[in-house]
Amino acid sequence: MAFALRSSLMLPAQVSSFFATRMMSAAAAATTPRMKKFAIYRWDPDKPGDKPHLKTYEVDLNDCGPMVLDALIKIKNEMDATLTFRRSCREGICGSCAMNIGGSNTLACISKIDENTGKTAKIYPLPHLYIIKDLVPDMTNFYEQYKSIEPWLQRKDNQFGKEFLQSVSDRKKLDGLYECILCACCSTSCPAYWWNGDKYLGPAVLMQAYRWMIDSRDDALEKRLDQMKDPFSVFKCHTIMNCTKTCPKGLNPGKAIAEVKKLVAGIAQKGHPEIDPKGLYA
Amino acid sequence: MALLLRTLGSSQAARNAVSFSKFYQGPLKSCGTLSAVVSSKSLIPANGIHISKMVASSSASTAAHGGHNHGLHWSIERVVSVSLLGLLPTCAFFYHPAMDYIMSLFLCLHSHWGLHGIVVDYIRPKLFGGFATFAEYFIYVFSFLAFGSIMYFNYTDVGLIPAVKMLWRL
Repeated sequence: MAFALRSSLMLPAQVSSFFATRMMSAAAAATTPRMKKFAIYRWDPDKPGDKPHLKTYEVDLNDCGPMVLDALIKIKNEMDATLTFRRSCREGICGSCAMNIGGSNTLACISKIDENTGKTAKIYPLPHLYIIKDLVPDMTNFYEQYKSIEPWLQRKDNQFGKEFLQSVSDRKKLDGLYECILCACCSTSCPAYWWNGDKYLGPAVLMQAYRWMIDSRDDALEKRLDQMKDPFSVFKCHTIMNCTKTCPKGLNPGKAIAEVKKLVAGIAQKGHPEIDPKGLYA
Repeated sequence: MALLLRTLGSSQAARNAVSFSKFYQGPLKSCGTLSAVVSSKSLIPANGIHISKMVASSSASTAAHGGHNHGLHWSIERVVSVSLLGLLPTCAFFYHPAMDYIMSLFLCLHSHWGLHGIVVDYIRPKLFGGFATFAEYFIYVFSFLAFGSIMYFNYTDVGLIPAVKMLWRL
């Protein structure tokens, strides 16, 4: 409080010198370019015989936004228009720019460029997916698997025609699950998914499966659990926890998978909804 | 023995197994670097491989289990692993000939599931064709022979736990 008062009572002379030093340091920084190398995975399917390789670009960090996506956009705009990557929201909510940056899967738009210019930043597409071009992986299998868990509210009385009710604490159970943006960072960091991605559903899809399993308004639990009873769909998870470590949204798919296993094994139960979803209309 | 029964009897053991995931976060930091290494090597694009094949097999897999519930298998696996945590140190202090048989069974089961998991993960039909099936059966035969041999040893000789103790004394 005392500090705030003192700073608000800054004398005019102090104010001008404060801004002068700031402007001077900014000017000094601008004169010495901070060149940072970006080694980016390139592969063009239209060039016959092209082999995947790393191409290095140099970007002046003084003239670039703070995030890796800013650097990629700068490279595409000013140096090499053929560089191909997905991006959309640039604020970590669409999940388009998921890629492998410096050895871990994350979103380019919310991962800061390492300011150490002595170190080359390495950028690869998400691991173990088929590549369409450069940093663009094929997500077909991932989306098909998401579709297979039928990620929507299912009820026997779906002709009800009114909204279903849910208590505050039942709604709380969905926190930490519904925020997933399906960027596939977790699934593609999972060795079990690398080796058995055709039969194992992977952390992202399993967390969404769990999100619908424990929704108090959903009554298709039995069907959802039946789908997980084979040795692969959920039980191929070896609790490696790469998924939780890499999640750019800070979610915990590893825990959700453990909960799915408990539900399938009958160790845990879903429990009854706190209030009747049909509420007053019933 | 009493410890074993208690662990087997309560579903608490299985619940403990689930909370294991908490322990795993630490040592698996190294896996992050592993993923980096593997990712740089495995990113060879699939020229000419049709993605539709992969998709087709993924949707078919869910129908393939035919009523079998792997959940029970998983629970037993967890119970065996957790009880081994208690049984192994117990063997150092208490001994009863029956413990030889129980330990042989549990250790064989535990290592069989571990080896089977490795084979299923790394020797896949997609890469090795028919050899993958052979490898899977080989693990069953290998584990069964190992179990049989150790049981024979228990029956005709000093038994597993005293044998380990004798080795340790050397």
